[in-house]
Amino acid sequence: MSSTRAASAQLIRCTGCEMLSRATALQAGHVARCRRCGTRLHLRKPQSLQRAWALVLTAFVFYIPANLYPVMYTGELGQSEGDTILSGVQSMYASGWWVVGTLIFFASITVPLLKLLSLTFLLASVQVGSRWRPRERAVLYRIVEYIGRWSMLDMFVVSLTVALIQLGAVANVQPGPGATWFAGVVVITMLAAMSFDPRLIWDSLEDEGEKEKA
Amino acid sequence: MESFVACEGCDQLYRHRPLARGEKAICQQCGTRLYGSSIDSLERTLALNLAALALFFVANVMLFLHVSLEGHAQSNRIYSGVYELAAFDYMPLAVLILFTTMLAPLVKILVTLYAVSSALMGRRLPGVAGAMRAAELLSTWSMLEVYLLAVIVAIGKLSQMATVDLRIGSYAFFALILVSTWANSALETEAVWSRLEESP
Repeated sequence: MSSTRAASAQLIRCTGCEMLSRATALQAGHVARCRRCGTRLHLRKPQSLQRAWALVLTAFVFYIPANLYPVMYTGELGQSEGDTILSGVQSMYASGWWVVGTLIFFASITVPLLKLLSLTFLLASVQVGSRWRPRERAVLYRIVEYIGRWSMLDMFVVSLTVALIQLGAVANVQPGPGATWFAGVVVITMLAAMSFDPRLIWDSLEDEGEKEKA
Repeated sequence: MESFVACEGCDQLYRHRPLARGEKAICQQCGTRLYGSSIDSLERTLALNLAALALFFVANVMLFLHVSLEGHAQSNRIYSGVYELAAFDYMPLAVLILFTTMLAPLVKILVTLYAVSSALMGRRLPGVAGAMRAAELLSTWSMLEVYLLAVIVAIGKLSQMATVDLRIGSYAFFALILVSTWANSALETEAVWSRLEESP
């Protein structure tokens, strides 16, 4: 198999219709557009690392209030009690709901944290031009990209629980500020994963290869 | 040059070769899916998205769940959660849930139908490129399958203290998730564009 990459063959893949276009030198102020669908062409996602770093750092900041504030207030007959994500999982375990508790623990605590740490690792490794295990890093990126949406689980559960338990004086559930912060974490990490260009992982290998040849 | 494809994940170049139905091409270097079979892709996408559109309306218009507790009872629709969050002044969260569980899935079905119809008619309708890009972007933000798991969890939690019954809307919702997952795997970007390329 001849191992050629589009960029080294002077080809740009269109993000809109996937067609390859020949990369040509542009005059200042001009932009390249795909001949077939008109989408603006970029060799790599623009400002990929800067955008992804900014979003990852923002998500880390949002992560703190998301875990400190209650996501839900539960009240029965006049008493009201706030639950953070973690205390919500604890009370599920205390009630013996192992499956649901573990599901929420995984979706709301494990996944967001591992996702932020993985993105930090991917960004740092590309930043220093690492050649370490590109395929494993590519797989890690695909997992991060796929799994991010599942962290919305707990927020959907809060919204459904609030809607389903509005039975007046008997039982009452209200949303808490933690829910908004947590939804922010999920959205911002998804945007960070979308900004990261996985081709950058492979670009550093190519640069090194060219240096060795020279 | 049209007979080459580049991997989205690592930029590796491959010669494009037509695939049999159900086959898919995977990048040898990084494992990203390159493309699937174009055979009947447009027809399957059209049929499945029409079915998804019908199910979407049933799921949203009909009652979803019925909850009763100590003599009090209430019925809910899918968007009851959005309504309650807005009533508690949690607007950003309400908008996000409205977007990820209703607007994104609905608009995605509509723009896909538009683009695929344009390709099937062999006429390049205005805004087709935008519709294709919107369809791809919206698939990231359409979270019906996550919402389904949340519904199951919420029913599980509630059934400890109240009686929860499923209504027509929830059956339509389960069917919608199956059909829209199937519809997503049917759509091939290349099938749409190679057909549009030949047309005026």
